Amino acid sequence: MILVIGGHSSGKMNFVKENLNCNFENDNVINNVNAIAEEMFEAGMDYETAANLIYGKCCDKIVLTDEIGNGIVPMDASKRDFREWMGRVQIILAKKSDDVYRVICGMGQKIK
Amino acid sequence: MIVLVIGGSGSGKSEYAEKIICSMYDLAKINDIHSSLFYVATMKVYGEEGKAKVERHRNLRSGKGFETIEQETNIENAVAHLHSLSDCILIECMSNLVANEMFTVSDANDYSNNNECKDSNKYKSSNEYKDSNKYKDTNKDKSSSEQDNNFSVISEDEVVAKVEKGIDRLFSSVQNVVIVTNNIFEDTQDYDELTAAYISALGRINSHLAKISDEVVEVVAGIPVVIKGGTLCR
Repeated sequence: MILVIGGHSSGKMNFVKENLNCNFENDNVINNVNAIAEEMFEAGMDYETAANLIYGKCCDKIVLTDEIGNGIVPMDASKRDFREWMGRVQIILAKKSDDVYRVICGMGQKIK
Repeated sequence: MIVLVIGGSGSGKSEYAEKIICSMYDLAKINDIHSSLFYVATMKVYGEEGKAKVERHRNLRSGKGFETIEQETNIENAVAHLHSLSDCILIECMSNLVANEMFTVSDANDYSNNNECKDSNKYKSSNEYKDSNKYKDTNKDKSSSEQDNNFSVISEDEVVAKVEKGIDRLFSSVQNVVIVTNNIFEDTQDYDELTAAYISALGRINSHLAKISDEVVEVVAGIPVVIKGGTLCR
C-alpha cells in the first residue's frame, strides 16, 4: 500500500496523478479513505479493527487520507473522538504501508 | 540537548517524544552520568475524558522509570523537583500549559477558591486585559462570562512573556529536555477573538521553542519528519 497524507485541499490527488504513475480511472486509488473510516467509527468499531479492515481492502492500492488533527480541538465530543481515532488509524496504516508520502502545498515528501 | 516534538491530535507525537527522552536517558547511563528521568505533566484533568487520556499516557509510560511532576502552570517551578543538571525531562505539552496560563475557570461551588482567584495577580492581569485596545470588542462578552462562569483571561502578550520566561528558567537548570507541542494551526481561522489570541500565543511560543531547540521534529502518522537538526532524531 502507498499512503498519501495531507490536509484537505493540500493537492494530494494532483500529486498522485503527476508523480505516482497510476491510472485514476482504475480502482487502484482510494481517494478519501476518511469517509470509509468515518462510517466504521460511527458503527462503533475500534481503531485497530478499522485499520486492519481498510488495509485488507486496500493493501495493493494508493490510499489518500486527510490530515484532520492539526487544528483547534472541537467542542463536539464525537468530533473530538473521531479526530483522535482517525489519527491512530493513520498511524497503523502508515506502519503497514510500503511508502508514505506527506503532501503540503501540492508537494509530496516521501517520509517512508 | 533540547528537542521539540510537534504533531496534531492522534499523530503519535507522545510515543515518539518518550522514545527520544528515553534514548537520552540511556545515553546518560551508558556514559555513567548520574541522571533522573522526569515527566512534567501540564494537563488539567477535567472529567472522564481527561481521566481516560491520563490513563492512556500512564500506560504508555509505565515501566520506563519516569517520575511525574504535575505542573499545570508556572513551568519554572518544576525546577524544584529536579536533582541535577544532567536530568532528563519530558514536558507534555505546551498547548495545555498555554491554555492553563491564559484561561482560568474556577469552580462555581468553590467560593473560597473563587475569592482567591479574584485577589490573585491573574485577576489583575485580566483587568489589564480589559483595558487593552486590541480586545475591546470582546470585553463585554468576556466580563459577563466572567461573572457567570468565574472565567478569567490574561492577554496574549502576557502569556507569551510568562511562558517564555518560565521555559528559559527551566532550560537553564536542566540539560536534556524533550518538549511536546501541538499543531493547532491548520484549520479555518474562523474563531472568536479569545481562541484566536490563544492560537497566536501558542504559535509565538512554538517559534521561540524551535529557535532555542537543538532539534525540531514533526510527527506525521507516527513517522518523524525532521525540521531542524537530525543527530538524535531521524
